[in-house]
Amino acid sequence: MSATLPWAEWFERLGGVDPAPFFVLSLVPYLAFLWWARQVRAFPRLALQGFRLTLVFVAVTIAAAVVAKALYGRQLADVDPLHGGAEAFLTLSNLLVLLGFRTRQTGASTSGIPPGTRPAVESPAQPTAAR
Amino acid sequence: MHALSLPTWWIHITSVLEWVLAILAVQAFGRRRREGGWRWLSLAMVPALVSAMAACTWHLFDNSPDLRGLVVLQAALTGLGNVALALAAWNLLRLQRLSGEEQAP
Repeated sequence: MSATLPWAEWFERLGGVDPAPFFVLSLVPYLAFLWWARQVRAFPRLALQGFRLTLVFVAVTIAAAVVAKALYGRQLADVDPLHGGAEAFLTLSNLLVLLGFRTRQTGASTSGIPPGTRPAVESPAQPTAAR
Repeated sequence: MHALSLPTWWIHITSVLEWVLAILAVQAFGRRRREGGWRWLSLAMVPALVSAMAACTWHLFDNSPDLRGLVVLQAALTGLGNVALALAAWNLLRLQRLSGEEQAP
């Protein structure tokens, strides 16, 4: 690949960077996210379980990558059953997040007003929507 | 695109679609509650979507070593996305405390 375009050269150099430290460091803000989200009373509990399950996905991915390297001498993405099996945990995690936020009830009240007394309107009526 | 079997592709595509729908569900949830903080949370979920697309593009090209940059991009966006998620959750907590003070006698 001839690096005539500046971005192509940049991209090639980017490929020489080890991504592992980024993945490891990204866990710190994620744990902070879970810590704060847990304290938000209105945060749907099922969605929170989904976000927590993402940590299980990460753990399974690391284990699968070690197995792929040790048994097949390949990176995880090139050992299809291990790759798909690990990724399935993320599919389940995301499903829980989606279902958690699709709940019809609006969860615990943050404002002290019981949820039942809130008008259960999808969105305020907009003049343009009336047409 | 044959580095991944068809089932593994479906697992990937389903994950991404669920994430897109979750972003929209968070927005709808915020509208129902009439709280603006949830829109920031849904926005904070976007870097992870771009990160996933980088990973899927790499898989589409059979995990080519020439495209290792996509994996680095995925990793960087994962970090950025998680920082955004943390900030969005902290903001939700801040708003919860603010509205709690309003209610106090």
